[in-house]
Formats: sequence, structure tokens, C-alpha cells
Amino acid sequence: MSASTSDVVVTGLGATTPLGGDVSSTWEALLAGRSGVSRITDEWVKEFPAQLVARLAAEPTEQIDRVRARRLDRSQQVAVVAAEQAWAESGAADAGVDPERIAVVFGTGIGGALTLLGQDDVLEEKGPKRVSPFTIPMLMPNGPAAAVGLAIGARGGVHAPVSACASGAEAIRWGLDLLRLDRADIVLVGGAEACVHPLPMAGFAAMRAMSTRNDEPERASRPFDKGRDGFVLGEGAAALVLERADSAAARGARVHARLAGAGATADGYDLVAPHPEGEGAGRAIRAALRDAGLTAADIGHVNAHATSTPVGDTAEASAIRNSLGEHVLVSATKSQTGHLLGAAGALESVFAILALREQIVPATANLDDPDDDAAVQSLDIVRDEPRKADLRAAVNDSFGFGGHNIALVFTTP
Amino acid sequence: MTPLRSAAPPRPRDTWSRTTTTSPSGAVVPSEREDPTLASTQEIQAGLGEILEEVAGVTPADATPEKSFTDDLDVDSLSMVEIATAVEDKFGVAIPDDQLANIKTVGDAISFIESNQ
Repeated sequence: MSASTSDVVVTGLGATTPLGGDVSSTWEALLAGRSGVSRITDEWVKEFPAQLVARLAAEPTEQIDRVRARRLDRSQQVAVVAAEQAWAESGAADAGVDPERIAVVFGTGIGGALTLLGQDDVLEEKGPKRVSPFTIPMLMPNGPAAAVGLAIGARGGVHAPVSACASGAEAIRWGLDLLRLDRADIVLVGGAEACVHPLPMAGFAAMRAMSTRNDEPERASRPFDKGRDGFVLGEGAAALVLERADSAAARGARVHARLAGAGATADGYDLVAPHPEGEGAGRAIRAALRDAGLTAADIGHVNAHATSTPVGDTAEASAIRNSLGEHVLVSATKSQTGHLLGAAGALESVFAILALREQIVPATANLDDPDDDAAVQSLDIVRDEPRKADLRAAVNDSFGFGGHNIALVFTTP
Repeated sequence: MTPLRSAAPPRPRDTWSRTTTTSPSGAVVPSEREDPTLASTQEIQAGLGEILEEVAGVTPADATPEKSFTDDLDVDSLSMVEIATAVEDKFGVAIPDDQLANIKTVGDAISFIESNQ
């Protein structure tokens, strides 16, 4: 395969997030420094150490048909909302692509937790005969991918990577591979998550992974800051349309960016704790650079995974410094969106692409006092205001419990 | 937010009257049937229409007796299971699985409910 045919570009973007119901409102809120985090006021939360959440700005049930929505878990609803935005923006539906050449790769970290837990309540209270016949299709972790595949009529394969908080980024990498291997002509990729419920929150809190800064919701997610104490659970989805550059050009599609390369590694270190120096994370970034045919000097911006956990952020700072150097501009957008788990990698790739397109780097909120860690101190983490920059290439990295590391390299078209 | 597991009261039985119907003008007209505890054919059709609208988005006017659930109303097999559960809630008539497979049209469902209530 020649180099020109294996060039992969991004021709559509979609998102529904705690900052906005679509890409433009989300991006505008991000640059304006708004926070999507609020404190839960329901009675059940009183006993919980971590009471913060980044809820969707727009309810998916107001964005899709009622009857359709009632058969979809919330994670599937947001997947469909984001995917349909990206698909519509790409114009791919009118391009006459054979449905057998359209593929979907859509990840989730947790899957249909709200359905699983809600139907367990039904089982306990009313018995097995009252459990919904849609329980299984609504809880299965391939559900968001399957719902998206149905929504756009994809028949070239529908895939669902599951790698915790790296799932969304991993979906993008799979999409790149499918196009390079000529297994499809267009691939809709992304990630979705919607698991704001007492059980996941109790589970993450039990791991001491969540921020307990309950009295200051908007200041709770503070990646790289000395005062960070955990992540804030968010919900939402993001989607991207990928296709080969030549066919995108042939149909006159608008190209947001090029997906130049990807790298995937595993820590092989611990089930949940990151390697302290981010060894596997750095290796993923270097692999992505090699795959893209670029060097560290080419990269101007990193949208970091940076969840605001004490150990995760310093490990990532080491990985960034060791693989890219100290010249890159770093953004930690979870400071405003919260942590969308399996959707995070997809959303932050959208942000990295928009940064390239608009030549502006989002600021990291709440970074009042950067950690004393030498790697954190060495990085140029953009704060206070978004920074205009001359960007040619950007990295988005994502890591998941299980030791999964994904790095993606985007360039200007 | 989904509440923590709680002893939520069971869903209230449908309170719609089985002894009276509402005319298009809104006036309440007494049932002419001898056993006032049983729903009339019209009441069953109306109740089934509400279920079909809720579960499958079928426009009530389309839920006429000759319509096939699968061919005309686009109701899939999983939705039929939901409809059977809702029928039991609304009319107190359980539809066994082997009988559910034989219910092809709205009319079939009305007849089954009518003869088993």
C-alpha cells in the first residue's frame, strides 16, 4: 500500500459532554474556562466521601426519540448522540459509501452500569419475570458500538475495545488500523460513558481515587496541582469520523486533521497503579511518534490524560518529559470536564484536533500551585488562559486501569 | 440520579376505570356490560393502544385489530415481551410464552385478553 492511501484523516467530530451538548458548545466552554463539575444533592450521597460529578450539559433523552431512547442504556444514548453529530458533519451519509465498507469502533470503560444496577433493583423488588427483555442489550459493553453501528448503517464490522479509561483512545487506534489494512473505507470511532450511580461512585471512592473536595466542586479536578486529591466522575461521549485521505479528498470532505500515528503498550506492572515513572506510557508515546514518522521536536501540544489523582499525574509528567521533552505545551482538560472514563480518550482527541485546527491550546484549570515533582515542574503546562501557538502536531495520551496505555498523534492536514 | 436500593413501593396498578368509558366529547358513559369488573373490547383496544404507544411508539390510531405487530407496527420480539408484561399490569391477564408466539395481530391480543380476564 502506498503512503498516500494509508494517510488517515478526521472528517467529522461529535460530542456530548458536561460542558456542552455538541462540539462547538463544549469547545467554547472549555476555552472560556467553565467547569462542568457540580455537587450531588440527592439524599443518598450524604454518606459518600466523594460527592462530586460532571453531569451532561444536555440530556440525551432530549436529543433522541423517546421510544428509541428507552431501549438504549444512557451510555448508548450518548454514544448515538455524539456519533450522529460526527456522521452528519462528515457528510459521509451522502457519499454513497457501500455500507459493507463502513465500520464502527466504539469503546466504553464500564458499559451499561445504570441498566445492570437498575434491573438488579427490579429483580430484587419485583422478581425475575419483571426484568426487562432489553436488559442484556442495554448492559453489554459492546452496546454503544452496536447502537452506533445501527444508527449509521455500518455493516463492515462493529467493534468495542474495552480498556477502562483508555477505551476511547483505543477505539481511535483500531479505526486507524482498519483503514490502513483496507478493511473499511470509513470508520466511525469514539467512546461513551454514563455510570453516575452510587455503586461505581462508591467503588472508585473505596479506591481513594475520587476527589473529596466537596465544598468546592469547580476547583476539585486539579491535575498537576499540589492540592489534587482524585478525579471527578464525568459522563458523556465523543466521536470521530476517520477515512483515508485520498477518498476524503475525492468526495470533497472537510478535513479537520490527520491521524498520523498511534501507539499502544501495557505497563505489565500493576493492575491499577501506574508505573511510577510512566514507563509504559512513555513507550506508547514513542511508539506513536515512530508510527507517525515524527520526532519529539515536531510535537507542539499534548492533551494529557491527567486525571487529578496524586500518583497518576506525576507518572504521566515523567512519561511526557521522557518521551517528548520539555518544549511541549500541556493541557489537562479534565480540570473542567471531569473524567469521562471510556469516553475520555475520544473527547480529548477532539480537543487535540481543535487545538491544531484553531491554533490555540486550552488552559488547565485549578493549577494554582504545580506539584513539586521534578517532571511536573519541568513541563510547560498551560494555565490561566488558553495560549495561541503555532502547532503542527499534537499528542493525546490515555491510560486505563489494567495498565493500558494509548498514545495518538494528530497533525494539521 | 438513581436512588440507592430502597424499598420502593410496587408500581401502582393502572387506575383507569373498567366500568366506564370516556366518549370523544369527554362525557363519561356507563358501561352496558353485565359484569362491571371486566373490560369491554373497546376498553381493551384503547388500553392496548396506550401500551403500544408507550413501549413501541405506535400511534394509537394505527393500533387497529387487523394490524400485525411485526409486519405493520414494527414491534420486535423483545418489545412483545414488554407488551405482555404491561398487559398483565393493566388487565391482570398473564400471557404465557407459548401463547405469546400465537398473538400476531392487535385483534389476537384483544381476543386473548377478553377471553382470559
